Amino acid sequence: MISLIYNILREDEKLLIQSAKNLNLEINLISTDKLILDPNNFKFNYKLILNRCLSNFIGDQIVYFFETFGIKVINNSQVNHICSNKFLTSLFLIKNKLPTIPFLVFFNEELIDEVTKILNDYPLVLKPIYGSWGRLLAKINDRDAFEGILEHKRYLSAPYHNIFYTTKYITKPNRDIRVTIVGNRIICAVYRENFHWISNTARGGKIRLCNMDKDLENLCENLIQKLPLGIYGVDIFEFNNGYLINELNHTIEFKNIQKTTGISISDEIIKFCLQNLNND
Amino acid sequence: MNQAECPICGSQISFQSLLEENELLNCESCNNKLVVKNIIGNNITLEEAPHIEEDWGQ
Repeated sequence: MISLIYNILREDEKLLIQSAKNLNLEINLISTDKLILDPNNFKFNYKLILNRCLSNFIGDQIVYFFETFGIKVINNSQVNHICSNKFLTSLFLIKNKLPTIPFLVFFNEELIDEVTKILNDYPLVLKPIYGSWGRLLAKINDRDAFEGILEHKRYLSAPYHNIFYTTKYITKPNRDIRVTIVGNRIICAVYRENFHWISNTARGGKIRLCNMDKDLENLCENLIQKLPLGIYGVDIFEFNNGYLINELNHTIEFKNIQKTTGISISDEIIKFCLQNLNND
Repeated sequence: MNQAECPICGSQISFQSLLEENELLNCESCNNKLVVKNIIGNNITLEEAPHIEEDWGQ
C-alpha cells in the first residue's frame, strides 16, 4: 500500500488514485489537515509516501519527518533540495556542466549596474527563489524597471524576496519544452506554446507533443544520470540551435499533458512507486 | 448521487463520484473554485477554495 499525502486534492491526484486502482494497488489518502507530526506518538505504519502537497513548504516538512524515521518518500529530500529553490537548481546544473541560463544572485540594490554588466545588458529576468506557475516573475527591460521592482521586493514580507535571483532573458520561440522524467526514464516531451514570454500552462500555454531530437534526448539522458532518482518536470528552452535547461520541478502537474497526449503519466508515477515498494 | 450547496452562489451541485476531503471542485453555476470541507455520511460541506499561496505549485 502507498500513502498519498496532499493538502488540496486536484485532478492530478485523482488521476493518480485512478491509476493505482487500475494497477490493483491500495492507496491511502492523507490530508495534511489531519496530520500531527509528533515523533513520540506517531504510528509509522506506512511503507511508502507519495508526497503530493500543493504547498512546497508543507511538503518539505512531511518529507523530512518521514525520512527521519526510515520511511521512503517520493520524491525524496534530495530531489526536493535540488528543485524547490531555483538558485540551488541553477547551481546543480552548472556544477554538473549541464547547459542553463546565465544567472547570479545579489542582495544589494546598489549593485544593479555591475549585475547588468555581468549578464551582458538588459533584458533580464528576476525570479523569487521559491515559487511556481510563473508567479512574481519580472522581465526587466531597463534600469528604471530594475530599480522599481527591487524596491517593491524590499517591501514584500517573505525574507527570501530580498535574495535577488537574476537571469539573462532568453529570446526563444513562442514556446518552451516540458520533459517528464520518472525514475530513469523519459516519459514524454511536450511544447508549451504561448505568445506571452512565460510559457507555463498555468498561464494559458497550449500543449503539443514534441518529438525529441537526438540532442534533446542526449541532454535529458545526461540529466537523468546526474539527478537522484525521482519524478521531474524539466523545463527547457530552445536557444541558438541547442537547448538550455530552465527549471526542474518536483511535484509535477501533469493532467493537461496527460489529457492532450494520451500518455498516462499517472500510471508511470504509480509504477515507479510500486518499483520502490518492491525494492525494500 | 450526492448534492451540496455552493457557499458562494447557493446553487446545488451534484456529485457522481466519490469525494475526498480537501478535494478541489468547480461550481458550474458561478465558476468559483471550491473545496470539500467535510463529509459526514451523505452531508457534504463545501467552502471557497483558499487563495493561491506563495509556495504553491510544482
